[in-house]
Amino acid sequence: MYDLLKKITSAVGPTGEEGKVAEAILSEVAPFVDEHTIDAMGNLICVKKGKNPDGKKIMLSSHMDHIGFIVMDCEKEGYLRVACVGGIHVEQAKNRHVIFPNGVEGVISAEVTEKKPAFTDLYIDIGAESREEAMRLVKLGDIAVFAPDCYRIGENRVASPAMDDRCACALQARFLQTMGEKEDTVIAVFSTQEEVGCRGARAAAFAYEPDMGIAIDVTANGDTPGDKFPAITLGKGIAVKVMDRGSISNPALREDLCRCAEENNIPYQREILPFGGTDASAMQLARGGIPVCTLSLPCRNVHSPVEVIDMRDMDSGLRLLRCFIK
Amino acid sequence: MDLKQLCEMNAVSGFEQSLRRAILAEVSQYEGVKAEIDRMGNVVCRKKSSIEAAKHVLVTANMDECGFMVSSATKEGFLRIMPIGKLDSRMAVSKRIVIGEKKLSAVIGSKPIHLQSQDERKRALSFKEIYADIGAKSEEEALQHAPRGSWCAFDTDFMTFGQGFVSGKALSARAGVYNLLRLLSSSVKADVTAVFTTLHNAGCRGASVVSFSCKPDYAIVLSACLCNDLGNERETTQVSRMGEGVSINFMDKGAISSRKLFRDTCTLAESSNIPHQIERGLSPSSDAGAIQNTGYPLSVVTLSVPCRNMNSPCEVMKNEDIDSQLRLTINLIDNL
Repeated sequence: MYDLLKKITSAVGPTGEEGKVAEAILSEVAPFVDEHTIDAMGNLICVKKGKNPDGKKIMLSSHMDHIGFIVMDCEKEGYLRVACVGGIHVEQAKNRHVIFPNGVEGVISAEVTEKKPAFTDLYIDIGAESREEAMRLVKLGDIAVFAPDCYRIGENRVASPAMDDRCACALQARFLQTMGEKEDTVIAVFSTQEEVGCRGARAAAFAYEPDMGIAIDVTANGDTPGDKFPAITLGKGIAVKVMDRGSISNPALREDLCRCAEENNIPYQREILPFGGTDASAMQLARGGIPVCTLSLPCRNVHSPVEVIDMRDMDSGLRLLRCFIK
Repeated sequence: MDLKQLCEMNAVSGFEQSLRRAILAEVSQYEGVKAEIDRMGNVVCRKKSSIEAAKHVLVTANMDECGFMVSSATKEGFLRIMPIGKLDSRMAVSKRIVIGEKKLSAVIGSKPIHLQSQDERKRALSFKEIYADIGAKSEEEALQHAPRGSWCAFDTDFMTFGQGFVSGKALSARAGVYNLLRLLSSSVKADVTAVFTTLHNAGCRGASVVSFSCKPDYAIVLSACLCNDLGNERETTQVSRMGEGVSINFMDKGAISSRKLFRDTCTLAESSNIPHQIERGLSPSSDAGAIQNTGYPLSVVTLSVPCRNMNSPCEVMKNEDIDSQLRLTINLIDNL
């Protein structure tokens, strides 16, 4: 699992330009699915048909995109001015190693000001000394992300800037590799542009019209010094989401998942998040609406360059999907 | 119809009837164009390609302009108005407006500066503190002439000035409408669905139904973008610059342009020597987000004309930028 995680978190895929992540995932899952396609939004959609032609169509969705910095302009000294794509706190963006999909590396810093830094104070240094030189390396509209950096902490935990949501992509990919034959059809969406409003998932749900949707994403934690809410602990199992600000999970589907975990001795936790949203919010309202629930991986320091998850939670999530989907 | 006629028509968001009729009358004279109105009031026109086995391209432009609506009247006979679209209350005061089909003249007023306290002078008056004066003497008289719910549009004449500059109200919408009409009257090498959308200023609502009725290969949104090149703004916050050509947009708050389509558009603009620039700012959501993401996903790119003083009675554009928008649109349709 660690190798798969490392491979998928190392692909450079900012919101709006997820191609490289799709490539990395496809190389892992292509032999295991019946069909795969990349749609106009860039979603990678893999279908594994069920044995039962009247079976349910279950859509899974984990997002490939990662928050980033889009190049708005360039100062004449060669510094790139940026805006954020997705929710980034300026404080997380000060003095970081960033990289563009074309391989150009840089350092993002904030101007020294007396007041609190704003996005307009950020700039990226790519080592260019003039605008002309900078524009030979990158173009306006290119998007940078925190540079990939995946490493283990202790026996079970792994850190990377891209755990949100690549750990879910890895889980979903591993599920496709090991699910075998099922009665129901699985439509596994590796979605795009979740960080700017779940746009990829909305399009995929409209196009495929599933009967139910399960989003897989990260959630916050409540087990570090000072953080008690939400009451989620790393290593205590996959979280079954009751509600966040994007969706209220369908109660019946949520309870079915919890019951399935209990019956199969799979560690799980119930999760309520007083903020945030996942692809479930988009799937729930597609067409006439479908029941949805989110399975969440507890994660520390979400939207920072050091997001930390516990692989035991990934394993329990994988087991739950295998038991739940018939 | 020319740009002057288009700008001087009144079509506030939700009240686009007169412009809709004018567009229908105009396109009925074009060869090979079929037009109909959908339930949101969008005018949907279809034109066949001049060559075989062509692609299908969707091109949109919004018809509506920002304006006001009469919400109530005071007992002295002044009308209270609320904004439709993003309007700065600071620039509404002392402007002439017309109200409703009868084109009633009115002036927006507030307490004169001579009588304002020091505190009042420092802050901008909100819409609750300004009023429209139609010369009525009582609440009944006011509402009789301008009932609640009447639309109000700025009353500005179109003008040309300087070297190729144009100014008028509603330019940010009508430049796109003008170009879309010119596109429909030319011969193109793809099947084109041209949609004149409604309710852009009320949340891109007209555009949100467009993708359900057609499945094009890709879409081009004709729009206007902020142009902040006057005054002491540093270069990196100017968004766009007047006279440097059509602005190609890689992202706004509602949509991230499809990467490939954006890059291809830039490449084509370069190779065909069409004056163009890359938009350097995050504009508010355009119709692109609504079109890209409400039904089946679509590849979308937005081409904008730089516009100074957006959403005011005197928007300013340059003719050559308006022409560059049309040239690049036709070039894309013929070559992509």
